[in-house]
Amino acid sequence: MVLDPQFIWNGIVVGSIISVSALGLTLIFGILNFINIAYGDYMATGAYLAFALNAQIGLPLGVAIVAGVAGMAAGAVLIDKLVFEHFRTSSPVTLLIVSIGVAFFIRNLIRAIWGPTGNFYDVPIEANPNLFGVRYSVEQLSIIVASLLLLTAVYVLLRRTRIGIAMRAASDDRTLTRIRGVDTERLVLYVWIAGGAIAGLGGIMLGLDAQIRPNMGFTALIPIFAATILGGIGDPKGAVAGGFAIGILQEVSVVVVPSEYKFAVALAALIVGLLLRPDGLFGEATR
Amino acid sequence: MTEGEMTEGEMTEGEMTEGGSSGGSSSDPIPVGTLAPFSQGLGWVGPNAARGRDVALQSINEELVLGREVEINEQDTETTPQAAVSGFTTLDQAGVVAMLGPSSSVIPNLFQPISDAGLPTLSVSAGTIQMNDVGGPDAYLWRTVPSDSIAGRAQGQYALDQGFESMAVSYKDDKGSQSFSASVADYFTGQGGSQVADVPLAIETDSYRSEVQEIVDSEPDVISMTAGTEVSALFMQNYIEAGADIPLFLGNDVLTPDFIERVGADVMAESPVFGQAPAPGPAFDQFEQRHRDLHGEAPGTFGAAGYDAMNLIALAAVRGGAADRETITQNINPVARPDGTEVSTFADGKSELEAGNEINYQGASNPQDFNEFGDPVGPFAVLEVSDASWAELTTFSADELTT
Repeated sequence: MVLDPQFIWNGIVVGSIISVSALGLTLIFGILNFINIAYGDYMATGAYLAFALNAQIGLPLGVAIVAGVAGMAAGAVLIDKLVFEHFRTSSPVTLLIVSIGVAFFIRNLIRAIWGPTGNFYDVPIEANPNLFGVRYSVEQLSIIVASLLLLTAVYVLLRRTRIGIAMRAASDDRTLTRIRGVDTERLVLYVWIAGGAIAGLGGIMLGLDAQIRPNMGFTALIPIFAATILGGIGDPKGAVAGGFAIGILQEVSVVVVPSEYKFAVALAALIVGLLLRPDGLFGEATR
Repeated sequence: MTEGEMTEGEMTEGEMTEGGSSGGSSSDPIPVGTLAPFSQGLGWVGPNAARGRDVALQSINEELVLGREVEINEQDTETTPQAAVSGFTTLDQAGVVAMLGPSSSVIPNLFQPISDAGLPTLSVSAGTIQMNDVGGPDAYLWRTVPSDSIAGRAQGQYALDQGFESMAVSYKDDKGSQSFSASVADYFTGQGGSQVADVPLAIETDSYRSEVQEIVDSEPDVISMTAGTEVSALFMQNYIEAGADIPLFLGNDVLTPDFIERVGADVMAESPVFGQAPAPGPAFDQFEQRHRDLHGEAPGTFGAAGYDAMNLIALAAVRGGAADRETITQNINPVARPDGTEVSTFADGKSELEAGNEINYQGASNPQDFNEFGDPVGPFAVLEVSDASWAELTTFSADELTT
């Protein structure tokens, strides 16, 4: 059986979206040490903000994307101030449960404002150009380029800047980092800004590639979590590698497995990965 | 004639006007239930059907049934069997005398409860082939939409008529869509065609790009895709992006102006996209106008079926002279009997019945001529998109589809 290269391309596109989204999730986990179930709904919020500006108000898509990303960054900080800050010293399980409540609230707020049905950005639906048997769209190319730029930027941030180094230090040991004089509350603020912006961008990418619907982020959480854990939760480069692995596996799997089991393939990959590499792909789990 | 049916001679003057009914005193409103999906996956079905029902109800409550108004008790199936059974129990305990019933995804779970309760139920959206041999007065069950097997024949026959020899079948992964797709595939392969792909579409996913590619790679002459609006819109987007110049049949749930607008009228018109739907019933035009007058919009899918179901229940009560479950059950078929005087509104039907004449209700969604299992048999139209609306290409008669 010859594998159609279109499936690989589709996998790269989906993998780009999962990687970007997993990166934001793992950054938040690294500093705040809890799994934010509302993260998928942050993605949906970013997508809907951009949708409102683009398809409803009529702003150019580029402007809407920037505003959607910025809006979700501000929104993540606002939610932290309103909700999560009050549970800063609570256990990760408590925070996880709180985040479930936040997730339900956001999702239903979206439904109340924009309705339950799916929507599309104001981009033309047309046949994609064909290159060597692979059909690609401008949106897909943009998604891949944007994800590579973002992943590089985050890598540079974490490796080459004082804030990034402080983030990595806090990710290893937040108490020790504070003792060493780092303002960890400020770091938390930066992480929410970065995590919210990345979530917003991930949601917009998802909306561009597919459609915008209230539970789009929630359903995307399964492969995003799988990528995050496969890569070693808290490890940014692991999340990126995990994202591409899950994305490509999911899309290629439809050749041999009925497509309704795509998510099961992601979970199977996660189980196999954990059995073979229990500390994550790069052996730096739960840093 | 089924036991309990009333002939013209048996209908006394008193029965034809007021009294003789259960379900409350002679001045209380007659309770009629509506059990339909108002939320979750098929959450668009209930509101569409309810708006159609309300068009009928407006006239019914002006004319009155046995001197009484009809009052609706609405329950949401939430598109799940559990909520459907719960909603049914609520309606049963509330004493409704008849019910507009739910969709394919949940109605098989209600066959036994409906029969046990003796509650006449007219589904306004269930095309499932599981109802092909279940229904009629003995089962207290009818539907005002044709079976998927009839619709599937229309789609399959048109494909064969166009010379297509191979078909890829794709469907939203739920009972209703599976039922429809299976009907299409069974008929197509039964008539000599071949099925080259069977691709289910996961309900909660963000892209069907790889599924579309799988279909394209199977090199079919024609694609049959059945799903609701959400899945179909995303599938259409991915199908167009893939540049797949393969004729595509859509399920009848999306043959609406809204769907064309959502995907884009130009794109839909340029693509080789077809659909099939029951040819509008004899009363559709007047129903559509009254729907616009009442709701300010054109009827949505299953709206006409809701209108017909409500009219049939009310006319059955008038003919039987009583608003109770058994009387309505035994008089649904007689008010749609082909040898009666044709009527298409409640007012006309009531007038004929009160004059002692038998009637043949001619519906808005189809003629509502029921077979022994409570299924309507009628013509089907094949449609394509033209000028931002679905336009008829050809029509198969009921005889062509049932022989």
